Amino acid sequence: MRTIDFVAKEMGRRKWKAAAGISCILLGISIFVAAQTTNEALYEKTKEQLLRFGANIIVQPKDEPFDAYSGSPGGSATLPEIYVNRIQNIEHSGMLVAVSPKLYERFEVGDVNLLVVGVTDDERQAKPWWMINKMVVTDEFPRGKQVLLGHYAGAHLGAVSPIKLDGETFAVTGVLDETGSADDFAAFVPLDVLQELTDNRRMVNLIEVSTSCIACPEMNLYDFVDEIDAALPDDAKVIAVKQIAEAQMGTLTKIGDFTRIISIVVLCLGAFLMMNYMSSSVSERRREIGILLAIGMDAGKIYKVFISKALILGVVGGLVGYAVGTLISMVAGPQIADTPVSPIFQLLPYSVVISTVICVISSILPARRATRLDPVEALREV
Amino acid sequence: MIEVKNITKTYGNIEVLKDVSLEIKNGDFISIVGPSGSGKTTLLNVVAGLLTPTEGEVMVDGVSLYKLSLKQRIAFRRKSFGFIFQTFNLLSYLTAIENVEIPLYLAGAKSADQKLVAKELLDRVGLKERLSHLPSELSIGEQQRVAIARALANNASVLLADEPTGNLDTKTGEEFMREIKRLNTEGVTVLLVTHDVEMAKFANRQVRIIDGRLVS
Ligand SMILES: Nc1ncnc2c1ncn2[C@@H]1O[C@H](COP(=O)(O)OP(=O)(O)OP(=O)(O)O)[C@@H](O)[C@H]1O
Ligand SMILES: [Mg+2]
Repeated sequence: MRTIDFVAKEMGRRKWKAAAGISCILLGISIFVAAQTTNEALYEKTKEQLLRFGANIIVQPKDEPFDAYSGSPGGSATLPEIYVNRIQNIEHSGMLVAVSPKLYERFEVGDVNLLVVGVTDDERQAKPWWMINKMVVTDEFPRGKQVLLGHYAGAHLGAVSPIKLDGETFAVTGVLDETGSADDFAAFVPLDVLQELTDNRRMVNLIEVSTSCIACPEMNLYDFVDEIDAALPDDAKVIAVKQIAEAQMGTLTKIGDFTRIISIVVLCLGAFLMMNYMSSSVSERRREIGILLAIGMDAGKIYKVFISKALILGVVGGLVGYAVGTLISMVAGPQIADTPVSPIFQLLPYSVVISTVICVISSILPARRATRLDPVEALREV
Repeated sequence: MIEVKNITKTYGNIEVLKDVSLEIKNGDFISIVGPSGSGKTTLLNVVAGLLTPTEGEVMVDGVSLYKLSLKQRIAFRRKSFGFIFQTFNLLSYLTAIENVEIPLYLAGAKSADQKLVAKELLDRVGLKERLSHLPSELSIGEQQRVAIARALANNASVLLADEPTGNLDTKTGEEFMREIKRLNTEGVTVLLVTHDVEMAKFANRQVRIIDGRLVS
């Protein structure tokens, strides 16, 4: 018999007791895993939504309000289109994904007041999520007198019949799938065509700039803003959309903090329950410990037995806790976070290690109590 | 040889043992008899190195037990003494053979050796057929015989038994005592506490204790 056999036999033949011990740590670990897993899913979802927002820098005429809700400028002031070239020539232009100039105009089409947006090819880079029947937009991108309709605009106007804008006929190339953004209600035509049509030659209302990173270590969003600002004359205003991003990221951070606090609280609770469990097993087994002390079990062996038991409880509790926590988050997560939750395998070693450490630490004091038991007192009790 | 020298044990101002002296030679079989509350268990515990006396000392083969550190005393108990108590001697979740392996495990013996020795000892006390029975599957008499086997596992030279027949009927008690007697004739020193005069008769020497004082 080795220490591990001794402990394993005890646990094996007192299964309910062992299960009670495991459940003490299981509770904490599974809530910890569930919270982390759900939080991660929530984080990923929000990040994806942030990326969906598209541009992270907006260039627009000074003194013009930006309508963050519709993603379009509030007024009709314009900037020279040539600013696009200046932006494309900044020092770190390599990190720019798209520089997409836009012109906005409203037209009455039938009974619909349609927002028509003039765009260049860069719009496709800026909006990789634009799909038609789940396929990336290619030939449907409007050229010449063509128009691409947003989802609801298409639903209203009919996808096939050409539409008339200011007397000019535009063939419909396609209707975008729903994007969940203001794009759903707009129509897209080539920028130069709209400029011609509205007598705004070489002018734009807005330039959207997408960078490949919102918070890269070498270059954060505000560095891009500064570079672009320096490259443009005073009549242009450069805004980091990060204000919006930060607001959302701030919520995420708060949820993250909440998750951490919950995790710490439940893990402390687990430690408390474990300590209580170990302690009560010392009290319940005074007689047995008394015999073992009398026949020559020393403090070293007692610690070894307790720590071995803690290791077994910890490892099993960590494994089962991971499984239970993951299951909880996969079942309850979609209801809380409104997003599918997938297991985080990297959490498995963490939950095993945390569980084991908690169990071992919680066993030290009870083990110490066992070593200090007076065998004469313990043996007197029957 | 165990020399108990002028032991006094007091709890508060109650003297439970009063200037007790006793010499136990190797191979002796001594029974301590006396009424309930007379101090039998207390004396046995002092001899066993479990209870520090208020005055006096216990010498075992020239070693003063209570001058050893706690750790040394535990190690001394492990290798020199075998214990048999009145009830609940055995760990309920271990089989007979596993219970006998315990002292060997505590002494750091190899697993294979533990099994071998434990088997042999159980054979010696007539429990060859009961190796993998749990205590709950054994009669009280059989449990006490497992306790004998366990007490002998580390080749203890001294057996200390506190009312080992207290829970046995007369017939089983006598069987048990014959077993102890046989071990004594094989060289094991026995110190037996009992208030049963019949059982005490198995000893070579009887010591009476009344009110914490030896009379004999
Ligand atoms: N820890 C203690 N505190 C106070 N008094 C004690 C303590 N332990 C034992 N005593 C007292 O010492 C006396 C002797 O006790 P002991 O257990 O040695 O008697 P005993 O002869 O073994 O009796 P029995 O035959 O009933 O087992 C008793 O009066 C008991 O109440
Ligand atoms: Mg007694």
